[in-house]
Amino acid sequence: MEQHSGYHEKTLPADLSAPAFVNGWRSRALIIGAVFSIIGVILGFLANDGWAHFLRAWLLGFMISFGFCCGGMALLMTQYLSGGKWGLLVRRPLEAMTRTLPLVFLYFLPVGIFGVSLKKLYLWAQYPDTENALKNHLINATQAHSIHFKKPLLNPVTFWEVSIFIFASWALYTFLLNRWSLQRDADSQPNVFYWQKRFENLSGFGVVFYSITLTAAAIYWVMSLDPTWYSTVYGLQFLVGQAYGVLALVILTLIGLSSAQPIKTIFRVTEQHDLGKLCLAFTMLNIYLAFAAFLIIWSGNSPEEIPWYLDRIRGGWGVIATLDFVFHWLLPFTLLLSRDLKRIKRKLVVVCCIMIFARCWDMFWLIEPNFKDAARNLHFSIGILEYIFVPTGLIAFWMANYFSQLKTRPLVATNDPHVAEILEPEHAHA
Amino acid sequence: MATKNQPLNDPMLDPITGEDRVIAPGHTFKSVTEKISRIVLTSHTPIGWFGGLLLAGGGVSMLLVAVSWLFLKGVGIWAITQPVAWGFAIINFVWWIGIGHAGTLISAILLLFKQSWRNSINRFAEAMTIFAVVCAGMFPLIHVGRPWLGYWLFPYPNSMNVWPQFRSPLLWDVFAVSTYATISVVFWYIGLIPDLGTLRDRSQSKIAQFAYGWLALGWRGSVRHWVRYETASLLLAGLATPLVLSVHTVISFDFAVALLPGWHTTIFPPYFVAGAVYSGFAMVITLAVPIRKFYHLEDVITIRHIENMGKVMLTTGLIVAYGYAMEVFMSYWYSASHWEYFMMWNRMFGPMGWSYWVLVTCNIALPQLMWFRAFRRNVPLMFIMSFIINTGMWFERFVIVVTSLYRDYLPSSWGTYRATRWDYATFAGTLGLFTFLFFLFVRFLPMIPMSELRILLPQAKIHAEGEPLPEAGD
Amino acid sequence: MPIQEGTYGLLAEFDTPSELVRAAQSAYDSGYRRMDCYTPYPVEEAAAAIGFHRDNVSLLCLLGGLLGLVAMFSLETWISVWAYPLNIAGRPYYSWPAFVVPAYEWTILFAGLSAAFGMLALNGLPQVYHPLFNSVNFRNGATSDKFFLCLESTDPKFDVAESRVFLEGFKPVSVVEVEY
Repeated sequence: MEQHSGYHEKTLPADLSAPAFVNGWRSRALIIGAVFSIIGVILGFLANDGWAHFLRAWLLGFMISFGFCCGGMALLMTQYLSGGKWGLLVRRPLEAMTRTLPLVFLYFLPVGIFGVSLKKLYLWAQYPDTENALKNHLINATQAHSIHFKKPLLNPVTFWEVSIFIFASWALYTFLLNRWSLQRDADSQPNVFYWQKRFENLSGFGVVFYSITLTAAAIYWVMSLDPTWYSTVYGLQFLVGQAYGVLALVILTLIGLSSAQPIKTIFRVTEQHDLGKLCLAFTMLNIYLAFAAFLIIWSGNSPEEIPWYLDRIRGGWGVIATLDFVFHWLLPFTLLLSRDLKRIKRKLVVVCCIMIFARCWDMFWLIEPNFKDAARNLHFSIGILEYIFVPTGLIAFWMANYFSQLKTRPLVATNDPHVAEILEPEHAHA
Repeated sequence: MATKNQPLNDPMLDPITGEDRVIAPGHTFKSVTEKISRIVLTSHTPIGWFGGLLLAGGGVSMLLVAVSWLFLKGVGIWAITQPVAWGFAIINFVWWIGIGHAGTLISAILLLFKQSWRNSINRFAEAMTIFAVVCAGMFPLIHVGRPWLGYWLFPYPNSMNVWPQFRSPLLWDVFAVSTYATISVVFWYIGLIPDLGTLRDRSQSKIAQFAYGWLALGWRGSVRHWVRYETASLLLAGLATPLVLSVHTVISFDFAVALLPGWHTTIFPPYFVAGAVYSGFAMVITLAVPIRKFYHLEDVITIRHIENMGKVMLTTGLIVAYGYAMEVFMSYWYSASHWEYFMMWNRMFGPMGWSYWVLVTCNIALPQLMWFRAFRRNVPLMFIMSFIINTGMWFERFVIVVTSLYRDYLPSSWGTYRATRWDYATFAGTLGLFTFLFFLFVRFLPMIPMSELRILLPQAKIHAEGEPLPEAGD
Repeated sequence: MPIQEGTYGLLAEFDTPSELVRAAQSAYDSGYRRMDCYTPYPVEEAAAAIGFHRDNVSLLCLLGGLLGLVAMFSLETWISVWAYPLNIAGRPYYSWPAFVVPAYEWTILFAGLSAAFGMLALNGLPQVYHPLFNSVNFRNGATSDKFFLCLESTDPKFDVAESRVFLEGFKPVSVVEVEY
């Protein structure tokens, strides 16, 4: 029988660097990025809407890339705190994600410059003079009241200050997490305990800090597109959504890398199964927060809140919302429920792709109906096509950057007690 | 905190990971079985147990008196009136059911995450769940005024030709809590079966053999049975996890679907769940510390358990704090709504503002001490902390219920709330009932799952042929 | 059911799980099928060794869950739309968002009960009599610290003398013949 011969422990391969085919992934990502961005720009010219849709689509691409990068950082810190063998596997890919922060900041700049400073995206940036805007019927009374009341927060100066501050603090965290990780590997075995505590101390506060700053970012960058609406669970939804996307991406990465050393040796079915279970957990958590918020607002049916949902359900948007539910929950959930599926690489890949696609779809549903021309009125325009090309281009370039980062370090962190465990043979049952 | 020079020869530390052991070294299958089953099977019941039972019995008597008087006189003996129509009954209901959640969480989520340290505390944490649900379930029932008609809550064909109204969260509660109680009992009992088999086989008295024999259903430890048993346990754990989430979520809906400032907010579901887990873990510590001392169980409820529970409490406490912060930020200011603003102002600085600050102190400020490793590893301090947190969590519900209700929209209909002695007597009575049931449990059932403890022993590792076998049992 | 008489099987006792797994594996490899291992805690390797890999508890659980979901959702819809329609704050009779909650609870309730009772039923429990309990060492050890392998007499390969020799080859603590 298998498990008898399998009792012998495996050894870690000598070369821990990423296999050569990662270069191929990168070239492919670059080509896709180039083609899609060029088409995106052409569509921007054709759309003739003052680059409005281009910028909205850019925001979508930015939010997704940002979710991978900083969500990766949050998950990295979480695994330092929670422990577990799966943490060892995902550590280096997550670190590679965090190191894309400069690119993500670059993606942010157009949102800040064009969206806020040049007033192209955010209603509150567009009409700081609420009285006149109201008189000229550019905004309604609710919007005028909200923009006026929230001015201390929703103004270009504070927007830039907060955004720069949070980017800077995340950069600091990225720097420390990456630097210490290499130092830890260079250190000797008996000091593992010391390093564990050090990472725990950094991550403990880091996760708390990240939750707060992400909430601020989510409110600023997405929620404030509609300055009248608010929901207290919004930041938490982004936190869970990011983990959902990052888990899918990290599984894709590991499965992709598992055809060659060193991941081939250490990526056991047990851990793959565990990661699949984590995906299932986050799929549940995600729908839980979304549905609970919807049920509360639906039951309340108050004119202050319900328009946000009506904007996203009526006028054809119901189709998008229903498909959002299908992609985000129904498909991944029913598929991940199967024990076998989580253990078969080829099938798990499909689920992960659906999950990442669902994140983009959801972001589209969150962003586009904020705008007057689209709310309760889903209609075709050339501009809407940009939601396909611009984000794909941005995400593809981000992926290229991620793959290059993956190449820069050994794929396995070696100075960890879990290394020995992960080289052990598996149980027949898990 | 972290030092580079860790003592490596400490027997309570794992030599590889440097973490504290879950179970002290030197134990064998036999000694573990012996240690746990002796507590139940002994014929010498410790005198302290009788003392404790008597004390708790006093509480139960008080509860009986309070509830009898309530049935005689009606809910008017409580302080509930307009505008605060939901007083202690709902506060205690939410508080108790929240406490119960840690039990399910320890047995379910930690099982799914393969956190083996849970194995020694899950049994009594589950028992705690069931007893907490008993206490919790009582409150809505006695609050309905005519509890003998409580069955009207269920949808059943009846001669009045009426049916329940499914758009009300109070009805959702009926289904959530009844499902929760049922699944908790089933999960607990399934977990007990192998240990009941052990007790059946080890007991000397005929009565015990007969009782445990029936309860064990003929369990004989076949590995085929074990495989199905493990699957069923994992499935129940997998089901109990979303169940726990849903139960406290539904309870949060009782408030959140209403259009009342202070109640109607979307963060309620996750932060109610986190708060429930928070207070539940505190209650586990409140129970575990005296038990491990009294029954000398330091070997199996180690400092690792206390520390890990401290970490869970810190995490959930921070989620709760995040919830408060979002509420304050959104209500007080970002909502741009006068009613929301006034509610939050009144909650913090109104006549009952003191209760808000008690909650902030107990739930947010003091628990930050748990950031320190030394604090988490100090058993007496953690014991005190567990009381602080449960006080804070009780006040959280008090703040949510009372301070949102007593001054809502129209100043002409404002009122206040002052609990009566019957409110206090009922609450204290349920504390007695909880303790009473717990005393019975530790005496008659194994409070630590023996079968799961055996898995943690080094002897349980399967060795390949040719490898030297470890020393067999003593 | 006719009263069964004679030998139920041969019961070998071991001190460690490793010895048990090895013995079970060899027994399976040499053609024994009707046998079982008895352990004081779950030993997955032993189940795998005697060729028991899959169980149907998950399937029962899934079916139970679906039943609960459909039952409650239909009940709510029927009550709210046809049997007893009420206007509650202007919400539609068919208020599906509200119906999700009890339907969800019943999904879990039915799934959980199916898993628990399904497991017991598949295991043939409760069972008031089992011949193995006639053996003293089984009673004393099976649920605390000993590991047993039982070759059952219904196996075509079973022979009291030969099987005993076979079992003794693994150096067990004892080999006992168990009567019905």
